[in-house]
Amino acid sequence: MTTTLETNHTPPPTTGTALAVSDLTKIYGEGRTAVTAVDGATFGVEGNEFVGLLGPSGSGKTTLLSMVGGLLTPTEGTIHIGGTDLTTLSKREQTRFRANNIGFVFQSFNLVPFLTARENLTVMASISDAPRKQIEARADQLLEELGLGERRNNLPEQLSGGERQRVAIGRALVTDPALILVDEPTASLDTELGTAVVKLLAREVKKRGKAGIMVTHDLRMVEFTDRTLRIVDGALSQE
Amino acid sequence: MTLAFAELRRTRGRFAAIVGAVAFIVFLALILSALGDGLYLGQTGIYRAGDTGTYVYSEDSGLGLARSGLDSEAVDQISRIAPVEGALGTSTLAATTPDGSELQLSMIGASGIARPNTIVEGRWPADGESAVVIDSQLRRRGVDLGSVITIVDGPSLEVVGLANDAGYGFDTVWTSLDTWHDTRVVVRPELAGLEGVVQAVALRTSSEPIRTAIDQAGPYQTASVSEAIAALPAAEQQRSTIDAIVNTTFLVAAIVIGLFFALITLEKRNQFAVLKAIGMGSRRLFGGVLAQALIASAAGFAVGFVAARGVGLVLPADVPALFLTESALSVFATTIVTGLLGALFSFRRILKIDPATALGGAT
Repeated sequence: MTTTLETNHTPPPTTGTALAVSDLTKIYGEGRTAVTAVDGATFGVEGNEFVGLLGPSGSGKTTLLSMVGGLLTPTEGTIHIGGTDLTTLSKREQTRFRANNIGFVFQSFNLVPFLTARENLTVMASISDAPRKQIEARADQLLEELGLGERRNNLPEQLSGGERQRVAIGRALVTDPALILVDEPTASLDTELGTAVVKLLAREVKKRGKAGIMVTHDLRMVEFTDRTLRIVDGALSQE
Repeated sequence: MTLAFAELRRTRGRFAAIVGAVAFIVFLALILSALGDGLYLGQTGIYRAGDTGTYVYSEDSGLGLARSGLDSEAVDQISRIAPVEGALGTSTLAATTPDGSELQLSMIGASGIARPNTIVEGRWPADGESAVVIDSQLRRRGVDLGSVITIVDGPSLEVVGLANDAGYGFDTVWTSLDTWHDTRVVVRPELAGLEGVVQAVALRTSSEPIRTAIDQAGPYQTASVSEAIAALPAAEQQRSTIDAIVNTTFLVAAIVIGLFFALITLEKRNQFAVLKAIGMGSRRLFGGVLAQALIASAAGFAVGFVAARGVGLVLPADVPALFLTESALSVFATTIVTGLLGALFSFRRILKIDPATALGGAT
């Protein structure tokens, strides 16, 4: 496994990495009121690698994750995912790119409340370009593998916290994306359950050869990642 | 659309509220339309039931039949300009039904093309026969083919025909000009000697030059069917008043539906942000809202329609409600358009939802 991390003014990662971020900067506002949320971040994540992104509140970790996920336009820099520079795509192209190439696991689960566990996965068939049958088959397989085979027809309100987060993990994986972005997955779970979920995430990301980034403030979760990036006041560093 | 339909299916309670609101508005609109149609058509059938293109009144009548009178000399003069193919006379009379109920009758004496062409059962009375054709609305009073209506202090008249959409204000009966004249003279002897005097004559033509020639030939005033209807006291005003009430009702409907979907969008902002983040476009999300508005509006119409027709069945006979298919279709189309317009309230809100808010617990 090869990991790459570069700080400011260092060469960008090679294009062989699943995710290559170069000189990524986000500045909010202009002139004297300008605030630099992320300052020239450069790093890469290989396939089969699960990286933790740590930082205090307001440090810029969510801004960085949003830019890497194509949800926020950077002020400067490039983001290559599987050879595509996300920063050159239009909003509509970015939306489509996200549907096909990036899986998200949000904090608070964020499942669609009126869809069953299985439907929360198969809904991606109407969002991504993948054939419906392929998504449905993959959804069934994922639900089995995540231990939710018996709960596939239950609504989120009928599932436990851990089950909901496993459904969210399944949704992130169902389109077979190159990159999985995980936002505070333990925020709504107790320690035991949170640990189990992160272990599961790490296992699934690595088992499936994905590149994964997990934002967390919980230092206990670091042990399940391959390495850790730390961001403070917008500046990225490696521990 | 899968999402929109799944939400409708699994959160029925929430959508039942908007379906109920739309149903109530549709119910009001249909009842008001039925009353408006009943009032309007019930007063104007006299002009629409025949094959007339132009009516000719006496000049000082103000296009009111009761104030108009044309004697045989006038009719001859008009005939020299254009063929007179029919004539009308009207009276308002008190009468009783076979079961003794009192009626306020509009009796119309008619000939030729002024007679109703909408007789659906029975026949037109022979000249001088003590018989009438009734407007079918009179059936609600228990009067039917073969019934005998008795004019107070006057003759008894047998019902020999039924005509649709042939009303003139009150409960309406039609008969020959001779029977009309004989009947009104029995009730008002001072009208004796006015045999041959009619209130208006009917021409098949609607030619403007002919109308102008008649207007200039003597103390006459011509009117097309629509002009004759427009001159009826209050008919147009009633219709426009009821139309205004119905339109206002639908404006309220648009606001209610708009607020409903605006609130739902607000409530689902987090969910929409997540869906956008995982790759669903704004147009698709809005398409779902539109589909939901469409279904809620259609369901609301169905419930409101059934309720209105149900109430229509138990309305008292003297309430002139008339449920017309074209009015129902108009209300249906307006309901659907109103629902879609209401959903448009959400469009900008959905566009403005930032998918980045799905991250970081900002939502």
